[in-house]
Amino acid sequence: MLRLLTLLVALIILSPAWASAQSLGDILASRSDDLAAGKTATIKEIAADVAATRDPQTRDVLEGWIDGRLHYRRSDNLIVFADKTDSGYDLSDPITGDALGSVGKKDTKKVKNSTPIKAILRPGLAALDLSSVDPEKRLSAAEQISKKPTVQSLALLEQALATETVAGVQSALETAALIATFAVSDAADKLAALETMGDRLEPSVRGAVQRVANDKNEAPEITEAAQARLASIETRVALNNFGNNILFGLSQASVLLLSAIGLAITFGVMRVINMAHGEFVMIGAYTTFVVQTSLPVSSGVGLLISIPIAFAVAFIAGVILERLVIRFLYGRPLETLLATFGVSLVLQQSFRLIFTPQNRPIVTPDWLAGNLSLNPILGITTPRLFVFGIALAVFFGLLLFLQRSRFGLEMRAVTQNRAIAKTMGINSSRVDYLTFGLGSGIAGLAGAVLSQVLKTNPDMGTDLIIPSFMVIVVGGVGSLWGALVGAGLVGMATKLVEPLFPNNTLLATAIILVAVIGFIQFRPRGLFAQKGRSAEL
Amino acid sequence: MKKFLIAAGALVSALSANAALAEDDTIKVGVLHSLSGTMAISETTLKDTVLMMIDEQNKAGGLLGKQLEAVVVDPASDWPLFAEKARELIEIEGVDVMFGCWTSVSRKSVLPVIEELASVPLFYPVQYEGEESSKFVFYTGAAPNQQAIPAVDYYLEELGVESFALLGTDYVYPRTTNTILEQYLLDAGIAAEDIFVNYTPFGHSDWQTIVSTVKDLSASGKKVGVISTINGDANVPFYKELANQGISAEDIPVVAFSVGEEELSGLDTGPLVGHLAAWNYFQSAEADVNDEFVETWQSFIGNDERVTNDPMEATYIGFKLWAQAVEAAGSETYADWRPEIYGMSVPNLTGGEATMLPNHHLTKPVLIGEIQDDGQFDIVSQTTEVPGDAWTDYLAASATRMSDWADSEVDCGNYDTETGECFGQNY
Repeated sequence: MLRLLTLLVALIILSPAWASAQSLGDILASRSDDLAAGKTATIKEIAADVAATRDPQTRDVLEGWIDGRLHYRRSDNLIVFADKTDSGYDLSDPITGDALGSVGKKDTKKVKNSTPIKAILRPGLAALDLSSVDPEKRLSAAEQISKKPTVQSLALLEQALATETVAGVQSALETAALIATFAVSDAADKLAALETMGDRLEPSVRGAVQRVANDKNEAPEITEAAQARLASIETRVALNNFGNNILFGLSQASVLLLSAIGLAITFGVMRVINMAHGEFVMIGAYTTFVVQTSLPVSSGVGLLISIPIAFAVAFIAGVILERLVIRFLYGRPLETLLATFGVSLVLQQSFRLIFTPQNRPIVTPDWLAGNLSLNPILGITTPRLFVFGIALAVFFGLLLFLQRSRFGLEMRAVTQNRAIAKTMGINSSRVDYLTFGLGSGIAGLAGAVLSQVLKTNPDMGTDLIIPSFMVIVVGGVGSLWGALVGAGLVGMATKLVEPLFPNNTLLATAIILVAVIGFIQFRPRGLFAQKGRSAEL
Repeated sequence: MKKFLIAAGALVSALSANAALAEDDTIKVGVLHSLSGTMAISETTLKDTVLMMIDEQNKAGGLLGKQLEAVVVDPASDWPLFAEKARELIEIEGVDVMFGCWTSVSRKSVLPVIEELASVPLFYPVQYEGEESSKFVFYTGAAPNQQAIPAVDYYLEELGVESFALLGTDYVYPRTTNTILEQYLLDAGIAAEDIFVNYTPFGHSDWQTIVSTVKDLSASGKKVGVISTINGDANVPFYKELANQGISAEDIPVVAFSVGEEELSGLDTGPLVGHLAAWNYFQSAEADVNDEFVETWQSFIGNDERVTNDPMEATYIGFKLWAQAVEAAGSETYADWRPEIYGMSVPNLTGGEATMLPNHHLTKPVLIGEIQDDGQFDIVSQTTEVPGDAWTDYLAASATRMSDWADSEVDCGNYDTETGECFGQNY
């Protein structure tokens, strides 16, 4: 109780509301010329003054300044809030809230709010937000304060902790208080915190402990305790990092599977060396872009709609390619290779001419942005999780389709023995173009999904074709399961080798390629080698 | 039959007379930028910029009373092809000057050709790693001391970064720049274990491991900052991963040396607000001459959404300087106008003057910009003009070297001030 009382007293004495002589309105009015002049050093001083005020509008001004809403009017340097409209800005007075009319785009300019200035504004805003009714604001305020803790902010955090009821905010407050303790408290508190904190994984907490351990001014028992704590966290960090690498490997594998699975049909089943496979993926990605731009608002459903559309577009493109080029070249792999390579160049350059060579921005919808973390180290980004889910769905869907549907049966019959299949009344030429269309369509679908994690430009196909062939060859030509295992092996191996060479990712890539070459020497038919007569085709 | 022969003879002579007329009446400008392949993404814009400058110049009456004629070739992002195409431009097309190249490896491949033919210079418009000064190349982009070093200073002084991650694509520009930066950081008192370096292949697409490694660097208890020399389209998945792993510019800032307005137009910039780039020009620079440039560009290309960028400004400055030097010398022959160009100035688009130095580099202001959600940069720091230094002072091997093509005593691109000698090759 006594402690709380002293805290309160300290708060009152230190609270900037009493320390600052000027009101917010005075500062904005008297220093508007300096704010407009844009000298970072001066603006930093003003930012500190503004952050120290406790007027009713302080919060709004701080937030507006950080968000770039605080402008100055070019004609007279008046400080205003500017809200974007179609033709320019609507201005209002930041103190009274009175509307000041609308102006054109070039009549006002944002008050400088670069990162070093934000770093001064944020703690001021955070101190106010700590008592906000919105739990999200309290949460981010706690995180913000932990970045630059002071004696006052530690007191604020402890005060907030006493009344906090939301669990998530509570733990954020505790973490922030812990970091602040290591930064500003006395030796006894630090020692106590080191003993009771448990093994925390947050990089920020570990950083705070590390700073204590490195501090030469600390008493030896404290630095030793900090080192002991770090050592005990170490194992868990290493374990979680390894878990992360496994997750990364799974994600990489799903990207590879998705980009290769169409090829597993065109190359694996039909034996067409389709060098334009990557361009079908590209067609899918660009379809997503077109769908996204043609929707009135970025409603977030664009991605979902574009998946079937991308499949359809690439399916049609695949059928056209099969009818016009490939059907004349069956059984002549070299000519097919050259012809499809030519097609891939034509497609690339036409997309370059239509869509410019520049990458096209694919927006990640809000429901898909962010990451899913199991703890502060272990986690995966949600777009990658999405890719993972789709890859598995496509794989099993395709498997089911080939095993259970009438068309799947015909397709397998034609690949096994064309002549007998024909005598059974199967239209083999129709099966050919539909199979090729299916493989291409799946490549297009993959493109729509992969645009979330990869680039979307005319070169994307070129970068995908080699890993795709690698996956198919390692897994075993002609087997869907081979594609799955091949993708899993290559992806996992890449992500487990990469951390061994943190400074040279290129070397890690090279090692994987060498390993694949070695593997093919021993198992030239891949993991799932086809047996029987069809293998000799 | 006789009649026919006469007619044919007349035709031939008329044709050759025409050809001779064309030869005399135009000044040929070679444009050596990739229009296909991986570098088309950046270089196509520069080809259009040169065409725009030629168009403007011709509208204003040409040069020395002659019209300018562009000769465009496509080296297709294929480095050896750059050398062949340069030879074709000089020997077959007979151009008087060349504008071109983007990557350092393409410039290095052109160098032996222009040194051998020794008649036509190249204006190279992109920031590069330095350590070079050819008599036949004008480097109108930034040398390391005009981009990388000031950006690191901003990190050290303004953002208080204590731990550095240098991420780059594996080729000559990032490797050399990072070597210089590592030495500079060590000199500035940053411990070797606080400098993390990583190189990735061109077009690298899976950034999970690297981004999470960078994230974990902050467990050292130090403020972490990333310096990116990642080039080309590998930036797209890199920034996507950065955004999705929730790395905000206020926690771990990333400053890029190869990402400008053009590259941002291909990214969803919302999650990238506050990350940085260092250049000598941003489209958002407030100057009348810049407004005019942007407007001319957008009307030339017929799209008022198209952005301008730093290498375009460098192309603009190079072209203006060349035109001015040719005008002053009264001749389009390189040997004639070369002495004129030293010390010659044209206005920068961001204000101030770009002066051609005897080491074939320019004076340039250094600008640092924060990415905004509209894909433009908010300029947060701008220096006065910094003279470009061909040989960096931060590496022991090149600290004593200098370049001076104006001084007849030195007349060399790699003069060693200690031994008083030029060494090795010409460039």
